[in-house]
Amino acid sequence: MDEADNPGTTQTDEASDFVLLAAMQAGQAEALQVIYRRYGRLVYTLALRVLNSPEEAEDLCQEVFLKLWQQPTYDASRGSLSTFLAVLTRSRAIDRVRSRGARSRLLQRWQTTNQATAASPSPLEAAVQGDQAQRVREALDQLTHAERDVLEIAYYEGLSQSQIAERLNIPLGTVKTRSRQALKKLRNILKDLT
Amino acid sequence: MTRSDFSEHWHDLLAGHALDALSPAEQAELDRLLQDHPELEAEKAVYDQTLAQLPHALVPVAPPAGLEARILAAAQGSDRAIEAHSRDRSPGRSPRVIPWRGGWGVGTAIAAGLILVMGWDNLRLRRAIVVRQQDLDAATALIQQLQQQQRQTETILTQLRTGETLYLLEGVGSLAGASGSLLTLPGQDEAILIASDVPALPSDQVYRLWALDQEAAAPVFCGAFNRSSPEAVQWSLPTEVCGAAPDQMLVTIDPVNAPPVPTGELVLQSVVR
Repeated sequence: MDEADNPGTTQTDEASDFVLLAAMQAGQAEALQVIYRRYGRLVYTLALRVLNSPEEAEDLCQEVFLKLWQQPTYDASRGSLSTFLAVLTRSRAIDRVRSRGARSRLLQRWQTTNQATAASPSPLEAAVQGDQAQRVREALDQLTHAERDVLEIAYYEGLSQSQIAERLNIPLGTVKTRSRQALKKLRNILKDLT
Repeated sequence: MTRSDFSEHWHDLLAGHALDALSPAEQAELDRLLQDHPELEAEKAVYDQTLAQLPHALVPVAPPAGLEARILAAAQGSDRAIEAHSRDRSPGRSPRVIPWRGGWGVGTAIAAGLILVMGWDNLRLRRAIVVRQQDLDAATALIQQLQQQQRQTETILTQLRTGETLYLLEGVGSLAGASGSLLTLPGQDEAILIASDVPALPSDQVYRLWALDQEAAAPVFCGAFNRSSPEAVQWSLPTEVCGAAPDQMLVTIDPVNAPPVPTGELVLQSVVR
């Protein structure tokens, strides 16, 4: 996914995340605006993928950026800002899903599973969305379908390994092996991105 | 277990940890491993970051158009609330409270880094401003020059429209091939000459304009000029007669210090109307 939503750039737009966070902590709302424009699409897309509700995704997106504004807990030594926002968004989105009722959760699973099999982006879309997105997609393409399924269910739905085993009707040991094997493969392919 | 197998087992534990899928026994094993090999913390972070790359592969969906404005409004509203809260609790203190979990040591180091980065940005900005100011000065000078030429051109066009004080000049004598147009501006007591093949004179010579009217006994001196530029030459008319539409205009070449009498070589004369 492309980090820059707006093609037009100014000097502020080109500032590093580090400088923007410092400006944001000094109370400059313009810095928050630039960060939002840089990562808002990533956060919203991930929230929508997990929650499968535009209203809830919008609400969570607002929550994440306000959290960043009010209590900036980001530590640059632990990874990029996009990683921090992705981790925070996923964590809070899964918390929301888990707080829903069992019936609602089943519906969400069904819908989300269907969404996971949506068509891949066209070459044009892929070009627009940037190199990082393309790299991650290519890395995922190198996994087997079985590995990818297990990994995506674990990541986007936050199901336990036993729940995944039940969902896919496969042994628990297989889920454990596939998910770890998938992540190790990605780690080797994407190690220069992290 | 070989060294290679052992490493592979480490990676299994780290991957399982990133997936939040370790059994209690595995978690305890990883804790011991990290205690004995703190360098593995970096590798643990790599697995966390790798997993966090997954959403980049999603087909991006644009957030609702109004969300940015709502977030900014909420941020500024919350900031005001924090300020009010801070004022209530501790009057006179700085209203903005910035929590920072990294600890004061790390915070101070990062702050120092920030000061360097922002200082460098500030220096770049100031340099950029100086360059922009120079560009602006040059553009302003060009605009003023163009405005002056525009005023001159508008004046000439105005006179051309009226036609009453326009003289067509033709060369005679040593400037037989020369030609030009002379405009007199009665309201402003000025004359403008647009000429071709009228060369610049040496510094000890000057062109002189004379007005000749049938009712006047002798030509009237209407000022001196030289070709200081290839474009129009403009100068002030010394008397009102020069701008009062005399019958004919003459141009002579005279020594700079010569008395204002028509004794020099005639080089241009207006076509008699």
